[in-house]
Amino acid sequence: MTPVVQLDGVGHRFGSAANGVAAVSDLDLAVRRGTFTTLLGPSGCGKTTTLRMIAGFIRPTSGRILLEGTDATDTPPERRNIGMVFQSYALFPHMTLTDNVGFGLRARRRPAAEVRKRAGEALELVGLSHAADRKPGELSGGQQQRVALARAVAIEPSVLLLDEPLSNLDARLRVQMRQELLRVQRETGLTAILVTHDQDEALQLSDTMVILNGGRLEQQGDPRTVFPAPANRFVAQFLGYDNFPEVPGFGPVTIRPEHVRLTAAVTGEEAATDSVELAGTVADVTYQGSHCLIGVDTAGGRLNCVHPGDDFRPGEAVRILLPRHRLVELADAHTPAGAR
Amino acid sequence: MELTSRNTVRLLLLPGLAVLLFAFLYPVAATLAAPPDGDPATVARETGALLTDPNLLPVIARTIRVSVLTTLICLVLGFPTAYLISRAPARWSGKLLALAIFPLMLNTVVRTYGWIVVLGGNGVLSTASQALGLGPVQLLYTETAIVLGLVQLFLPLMILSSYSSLSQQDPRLEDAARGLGAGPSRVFRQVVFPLALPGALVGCTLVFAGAVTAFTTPQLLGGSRERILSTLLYSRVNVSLDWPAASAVALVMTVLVLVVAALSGRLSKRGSTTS
Repeated sequence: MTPVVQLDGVGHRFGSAANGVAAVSDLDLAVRRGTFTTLLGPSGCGKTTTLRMIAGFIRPTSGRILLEGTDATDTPPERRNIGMVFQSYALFPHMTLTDNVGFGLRARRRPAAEVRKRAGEALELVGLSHAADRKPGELSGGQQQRVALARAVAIEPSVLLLDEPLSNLDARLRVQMRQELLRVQRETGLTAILVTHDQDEALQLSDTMVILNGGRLEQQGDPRTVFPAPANRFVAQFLGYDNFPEVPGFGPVTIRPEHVRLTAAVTGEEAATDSVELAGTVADVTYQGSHCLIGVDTAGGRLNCVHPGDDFRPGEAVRILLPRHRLVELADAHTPAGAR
Repeated sequence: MELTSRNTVRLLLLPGLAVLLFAFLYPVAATLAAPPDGDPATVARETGALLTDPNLLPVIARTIRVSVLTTLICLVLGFPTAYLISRAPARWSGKLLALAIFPLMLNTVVRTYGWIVVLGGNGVLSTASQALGLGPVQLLYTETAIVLGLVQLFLPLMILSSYSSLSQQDPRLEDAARGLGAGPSRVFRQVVFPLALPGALVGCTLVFAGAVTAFTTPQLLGGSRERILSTLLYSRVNVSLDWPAASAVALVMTVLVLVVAALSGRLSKRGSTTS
């Protein structure tokens, strides 16, 4: 099946070709119909530039962009049939919700009756039918973003592009809106590409997550494949693998803080054969109620650990157990550019 | 807390209000109540005469024509310029804006004499036209000359007012409209312009009021042949020393400006209730 969106060696340099800055370099990507893809990375990783190139607001300086199998590299945004949702919502403040949602259909010169009907349906999809005659300024941030979603969906776009749509919302609403976003995408069967710097968002929403750094692809795949097995130190760090210890008998490895086990130096449990044992000294304890965050100094560097009890104090000698199946071997020892 | 801050705001209004009261409202009221060299009845009679005198009606018509034309040309030239400045990269927009308002820093008399050099019988334009075999052009002392001079004088006001509205627009609105399938013209007509209408209307009001009341430019470029109200007012005061008639002219000018200001305020309000 032809990918809905395909990037072939796409790059973008800001400034002149000679001394400009590469925002995106040589990016390949294929997005399958009906899937949810997230572009994940820290600010400046090129994820928004990539999305804006797919939308047509920025022209790639190298490579090709194919939409529905045809070369769209030079097609202006208004002829790409994309539905875009912006971080700032970008609703038209002088129009009612119905007129906002119907804007794309009017631009396509659909008959007024059809525009009204489909705008109504799109508003219903996001649960805002009752506010159809209001102006965006009368709505809360969460409601405005639902209107923006309805407006993008109403044109039945070939791809829904979402530029950090949830980052202006407060934490509770953000989690709610994720569900909403996923529901709308599933119900409409639309192909969606979402840009985010929030790994939780990416893990929850993605069929495919694409991790970018410094304009380059670091790793991509299904979250259940990527999360337990980050390919390199950058991805590991970004996904919250806080520890990069030197473990005797291993190359570069990483382990999540919640997988590091601490036990008393003398009376603690026996080391199982499936764990690597290290010795260390507690450096600091941060009390978090249900657990403690404990930093332990070892010969192989500092290890951060999520510990279920509050039974260790700074200065205490401890044994550290690293379950072998939780140690993830990394492809690189070095810290990639931009990770610091 | 709320009350204190509101009182502070009111206090801040006082100096401006005081200046307006003593420098504008008081003289206007005084002129109408007890005009120099006459009484209110005389001014009323003179106003009636001005509005019915077949020799003076063309002056009123010309004033309105020149001012409306100046306003429209300023809008057509100024709004797109303001749009381009507001969408230019930040490091450019400041410089471009300074360039646009630079003419404001020149003395009106100097600037107007510049136009005389360009438009006069032996001026640049006429010489060029003769060189092309088109014969001499006499633009000086015509309505066209007045409009040209006024457009140049007031264009910066239109650019500044439009810019203030345009620069506050979220540029993502245009992206959103384009993404939804709107071409450049639809984006402009349905998103950019309606949202910047308040600024454009303020610009129109300023330019219109300025054009109605401008004196140097119409006096030097229109001469005594193409009189408008402001130059008429001057001759009533300084040449014929007819103070009641001058008061009548001033009254008509003030009403003209107030009507347009009210009209623009109404349009702007309608714009904001639909926005």
